[in-house]
Amino acid sequence: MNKRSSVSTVPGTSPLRVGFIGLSATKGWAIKSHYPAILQVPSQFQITAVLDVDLEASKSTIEKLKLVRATPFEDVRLFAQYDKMDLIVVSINVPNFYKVVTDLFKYSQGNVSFRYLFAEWSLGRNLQEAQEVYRLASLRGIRTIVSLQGRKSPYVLRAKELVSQGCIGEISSVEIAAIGGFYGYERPFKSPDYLYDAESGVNLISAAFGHTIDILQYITGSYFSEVNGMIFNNIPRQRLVDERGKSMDQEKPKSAPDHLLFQGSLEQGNVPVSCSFKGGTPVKKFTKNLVIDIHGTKGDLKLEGDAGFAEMSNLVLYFCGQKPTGDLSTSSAETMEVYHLRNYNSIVGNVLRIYEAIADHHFRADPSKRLPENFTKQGFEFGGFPTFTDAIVVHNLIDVVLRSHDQKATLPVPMPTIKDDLQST
Amino acid sequence: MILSNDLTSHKIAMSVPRFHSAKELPNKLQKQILDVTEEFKTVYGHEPDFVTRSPGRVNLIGDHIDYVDFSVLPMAINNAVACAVRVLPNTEIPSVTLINTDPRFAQRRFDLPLDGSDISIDPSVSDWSNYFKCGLLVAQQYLRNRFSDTFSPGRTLSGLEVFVDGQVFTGGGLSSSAAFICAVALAVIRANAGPGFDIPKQELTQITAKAEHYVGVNNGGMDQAASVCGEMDHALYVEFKPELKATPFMFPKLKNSEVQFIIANTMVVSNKVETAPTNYNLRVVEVTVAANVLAAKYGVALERVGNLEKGTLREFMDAYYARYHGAREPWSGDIEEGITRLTEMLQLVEDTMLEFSSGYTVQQASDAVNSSMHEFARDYLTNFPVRFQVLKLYQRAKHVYSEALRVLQALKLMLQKTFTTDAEFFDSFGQLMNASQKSCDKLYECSCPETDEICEIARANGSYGSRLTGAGWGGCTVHLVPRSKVNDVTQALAEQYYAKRGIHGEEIDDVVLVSRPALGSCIVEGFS
Repeated sequence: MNKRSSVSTVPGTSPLRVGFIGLSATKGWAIKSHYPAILQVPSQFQITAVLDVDLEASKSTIEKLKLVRATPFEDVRLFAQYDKMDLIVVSINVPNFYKVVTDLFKYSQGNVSFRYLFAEWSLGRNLQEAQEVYRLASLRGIRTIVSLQGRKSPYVLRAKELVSQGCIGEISSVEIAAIGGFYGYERPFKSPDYLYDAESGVNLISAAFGHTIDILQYITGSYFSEVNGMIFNNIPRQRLVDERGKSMDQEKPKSAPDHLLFQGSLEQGNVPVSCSFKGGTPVKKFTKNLVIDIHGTKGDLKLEGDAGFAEMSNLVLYFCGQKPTGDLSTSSAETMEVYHLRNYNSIVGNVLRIYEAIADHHFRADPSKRLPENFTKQGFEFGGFPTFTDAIVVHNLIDVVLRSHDQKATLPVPMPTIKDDLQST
Repeated sequence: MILSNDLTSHKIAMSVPRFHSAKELPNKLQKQILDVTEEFKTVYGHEPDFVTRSPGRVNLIGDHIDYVDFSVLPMAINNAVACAVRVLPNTEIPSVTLINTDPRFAQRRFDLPLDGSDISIDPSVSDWSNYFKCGLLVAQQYLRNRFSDTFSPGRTLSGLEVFVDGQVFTGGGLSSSAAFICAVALAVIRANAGPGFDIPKQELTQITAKAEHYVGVNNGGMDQAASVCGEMDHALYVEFKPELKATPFMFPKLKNSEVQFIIANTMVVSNKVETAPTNYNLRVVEVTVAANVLAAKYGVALERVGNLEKGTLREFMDAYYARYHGAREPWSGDIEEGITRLTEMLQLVEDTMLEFSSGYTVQQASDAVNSSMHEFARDYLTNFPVRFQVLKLYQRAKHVYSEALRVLQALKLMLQKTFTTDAEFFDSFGQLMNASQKSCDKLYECSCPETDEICEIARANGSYGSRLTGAGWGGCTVHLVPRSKVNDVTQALAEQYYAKRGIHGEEIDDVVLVSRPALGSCIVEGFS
């Protein structure tokens, strides 16, 4: 249980000023997640700048959301130089991410107020782009945050707690099954084409697999040692459907994958992990769309969801095994736990918890949540927030999966090139 | 919700009383209103518009049966939560600022959604502002229904500056959370509907009854009914079926003594939300499963009522009586009929569950309700987080039926006109309270060693009946004491219980309350 009552969330100093790239009052992910999250912590975060493709769009967003303290921008150079921003949030399509962020770094030279960069997962189309973004951020010595928000899901944290307290003993094996959403036989006609283009870097593997496998590593406290991937494109053309899901008798090509088979072993304990990621429709009829099934020597733990995306779904956690620490009951029977929060809004809630973690760090309100001086990645810690370093780990794993498919081989997972020493003061 | 005049000689106001200055309130209650106003001024730099106040409650008997729809006997106490409020002009982004006298509850500020949509509450976090949001949310839904022309969809609520002073022990079993939620809902309605709107007590109770479900506590409606509908010198008989109903009544007039209840805090903090998976919510699950095990054994179907929408033990009693005794109507609440039926239910519990008195595993419980483990988990275990080794259906069902029986016997005593001696009342009522404590301890397992210790000291020094009150697992105890023995009991507790814990002298007044039934929710205007 996350206790906050005695920790002040109203800082003595002014709030963190947020510059937003990709906030629109009418569409996109940020208005559904980041914006309602920020609304709940207005004494810690205040939106002071909005950058959109044209000035009218920025102005319209500011007006509709009554962002009275925000200045509209259409030019990334002027935005980057604006000195009334401490935290820049980038929530735009992945294919555009690299260009915008490199420009942001280029033009913000000398802007000393810019201290935090919060980016959506993933950091670019591939490992190379992500590493360059990581390098630029390291050179600037700013704090980075990546929206691998599954790490803040109460279900993931509860699972991590049970595993770390030894409630399932040693992990003996893991199975994961998930559905990616867009990559089945049908696709909504309004859906943007880049989602289906293998080169865009946004696909079943980066999104569904990336988030889910990061969650698995986080829960188990282990990275992978070797992996094997098979990637399929058995559906090269998809039928278009209208808003009501009715077929429109049209087709569009798809180069992005529609299935991923992944197997690998976790470093800690050489644990076998078996994953099958289905592209999309039709959904499974007799199985949940998301299942993370963790088997241990002394108990089992399962996360289930109706939607395939663990990082933004309301899940159910089932556990059966050893007593958690602090349980003083004398019964010899196994402990059974079902953890489900009926009214939990996971789209807003998981992102909100990242903002809360940033605020806890920045305002140093809660001594127990203070980050270590040399905090560069969250790794497997409960506290803090995922950083670009954590993101590079996932990018690197995805890169190995792609190579494994190309080479038809099981490959070791090398340590990604992370130069933490680049972090200047 | 019905506020009934059936048992009382004086007419009860149906709207939340409105006072035009703190001086109109009973003396004992004035200080808190004046203090909270003063503190509001200190932190915000100007006067509040009004103060809302809602008291805690003590349940005399009938614990852990409200959520299976059996009646209870609570009374409001003098200790209350007061909220001093200023309504912000609608020119700015509506935001709510919360400041509390108690430093354990740090300052909060949040914006209200501009489109007037519901505020979101994160039930996975234990934060005092969540309770505020519960009150705000139900008040907003109420305003939308009550004033559908002016509260069109898309209209946001007014922003507020709030200063909160809680004189009800938190985690003390006196329902500080319900008192807070009722004071907040009252404040939000007053702030948005204006001073001209008289808020019906019945409606305020109705909307707040289930507000705590938003933070994941699966409670009944007793606490809210007691806080809102409390009356000076009247305890309440609160019924949940066929409808939520509160009936005030006075204690019997005795010849030589006056009935007093002493409330003593164990100082063991019990937070319903934080321990819910193994305590409060688990009990709710156990009694729901118990009802369905009985229904399966006797071949009756339960209606989808109750907090898990899977039927309740009261529902089973009605279904059983319909099938085996030809009862056309569910039990009406008639005392004698209730005693007969509950006695039979206790026998059925013995017949059905005694062989599993060490508890049902999930497999055994699934078998007993004729479902697979998978269906069982889905139907009973996914409503709220729960954790257990076994489900003690026998003990829980036995507690519920016997406790419901004791409430009826207690009510009979309270309504009895004359007693041959004062001791007859004290002995009989006290025995019911002592039996209730034993059942809470042994069958429901919601007592704790500190509660047992306080009860023993009190009984040895003049209490006729001593028991836990509220959810249990710590919190407060309540003791039936004639006025002449109040000092003896208080002193014995001071010497034998509190001294060991470093509480002396005037500090005792903070942990031991001597209360008569007190006024329920009210609004105090006239500060600016």
